[in-house]
Amino acid sequence: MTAAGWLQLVALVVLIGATAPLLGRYMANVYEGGPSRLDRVFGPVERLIYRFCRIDPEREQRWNIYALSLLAFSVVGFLVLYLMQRVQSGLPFNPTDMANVAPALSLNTAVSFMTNTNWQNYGGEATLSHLTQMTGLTVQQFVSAAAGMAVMAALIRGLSRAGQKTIGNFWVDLIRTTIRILLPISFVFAIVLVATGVIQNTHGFTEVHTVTGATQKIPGGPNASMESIKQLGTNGGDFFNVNSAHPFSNPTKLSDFLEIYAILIIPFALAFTFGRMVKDKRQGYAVFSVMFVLWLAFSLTAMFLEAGGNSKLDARGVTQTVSASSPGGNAEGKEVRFGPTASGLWAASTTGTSNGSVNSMHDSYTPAGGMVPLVHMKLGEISPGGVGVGLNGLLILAILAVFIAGLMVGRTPEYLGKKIQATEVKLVAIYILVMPAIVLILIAISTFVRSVSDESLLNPGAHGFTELIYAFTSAGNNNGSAFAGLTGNTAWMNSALAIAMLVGRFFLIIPTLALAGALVRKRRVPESAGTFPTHTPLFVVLVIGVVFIVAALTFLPVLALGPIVEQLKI
Amino acid sequence: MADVWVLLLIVAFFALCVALVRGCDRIIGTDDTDELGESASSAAEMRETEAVGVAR
Repeated sequence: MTAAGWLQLVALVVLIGATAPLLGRYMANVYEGGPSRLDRVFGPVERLIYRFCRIDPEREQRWNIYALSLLAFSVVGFLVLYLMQRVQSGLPFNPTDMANVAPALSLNTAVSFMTNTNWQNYGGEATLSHLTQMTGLTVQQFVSAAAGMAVMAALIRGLSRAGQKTIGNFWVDLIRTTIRILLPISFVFAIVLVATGVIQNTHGFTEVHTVTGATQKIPGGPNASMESIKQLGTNGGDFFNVNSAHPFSNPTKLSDFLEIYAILIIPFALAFTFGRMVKDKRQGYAVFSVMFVLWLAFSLTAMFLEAGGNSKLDARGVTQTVSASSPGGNAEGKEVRFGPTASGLWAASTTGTSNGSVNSMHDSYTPAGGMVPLVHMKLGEISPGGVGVGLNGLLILAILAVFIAGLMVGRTPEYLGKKIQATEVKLVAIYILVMPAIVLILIAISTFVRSVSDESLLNPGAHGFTELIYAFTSAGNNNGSAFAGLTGNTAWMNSALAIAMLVGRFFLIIPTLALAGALVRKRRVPESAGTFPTHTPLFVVLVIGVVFIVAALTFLPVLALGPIVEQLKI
Repeated sequence: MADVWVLLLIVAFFALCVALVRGCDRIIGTDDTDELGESASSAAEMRETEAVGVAR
């Protein structure tokens, strides 16, 4: 790995370590409703929205009402975005004259952005009008992220409160997250991105003549504002079809570094938010440690594998070493301005966070290198995970770890003073089983669908199967990153991926909220000699072990048929 | 016609979500049975465990 690669990784770790605790403390205050110097700015805006929407901010909800509110909000969001795509040619602010989007593709795109997945079967600037991108997709990028963070706040309240019935108010959590966290940070970050060269204008296509005499259409559009929330909200959907490999979305090494930081900062900071909200910072450190160890391990693996290149090319005399004109390593499918190490770091970060944006084509990675983002998603997006939902997943795995520890060594299954009993374990089991079930079932069905082999898969054999595994893993985990090499805009793939995204989002959120509802009623039991401490390095190792055991037992067989067999062929 | 199918798919999915909310609510049990800080099903489970212990 190059010195530049090491420098980028170390700088990223230092920056996250310095800023995540501060942001975590701020977000804890937002969710606890504590006084803030920013109340004078945000308070009037919130009160206006409450009055307009007839929301009583003092009235809290039981878990099921919280869940139904979230479902109702999501349905309305879907309908608006679907309709907007279907009639976009007749709507204003369409300087590129985009036609109406077909029903199946509109379904896939609306579901994709409503679920915070941002899988892109559409062609970015070549399919959607500026209005649809700005007021349809970008709005969903804010509110879907805020909804995930609201669910996280509800789960933490379930753990921190005792003997109560309510877990907060969904509408209040949604509005406060959007107004006090996502909007201001995104606004500032959009300006930073513009300074690094990311475009932000209202142009359509500009026709230019190249030096060889050909004509070329250069796209324009309100990109920096979308790029900002795309990364901070772990959304991943870009204004342009090639995502963050496009020079207008990610023009320099500096923008690349800042965008990776933006992908990671809120999910990592939420670990500290958790520690503060449960009044035990050590718990936050333990959760942060699990996230950090997993993310670092996957990042280093991807960086080393891609910097190492392909041994078959070495055997044929192709040089893969760093030189003045080449970044070295496995350069296929990567931008020269980033090189293999920075691309590997991005790939690991984007798939550990349910972000899904790409600055290189994962399909062109070495088989083992391509398996890194794939396996990272299969862990369930917990390292550090999407905004809100990542922490939810990790807390649920921590509860499972406590339960397993109880079975193994006879300790009382407790987490933060709450007894983990049959009710909680049933809900955890639903959560753990839903994602693998929907992903594996849809992969299996797709292998029998003729349009998949005839139209969608662009490669035969193990590599083609890996493309299919990657697509459904990405959709089922609400990640949205594409392996490339797969045509997704077919009737089957549009519909099947939409189902995977819907199930992967809502069938996990509902048991999470139910778990919050079950835990919030429980009274705290005093710590005893039989209590398993959940802030120690031993617990961190135990949770990491549980993460790998759950993922490995579930997905190893399907991985053996895809990337593992392909790597063994080299 | 395709729009109608899409609408039906979404309605059907969210109906399933509501069913899942109800299913999870049944797993948890009602708030009234929670005076000791334990849910209805876990309280029943404890009684069952005690009964097995007595039988042994």
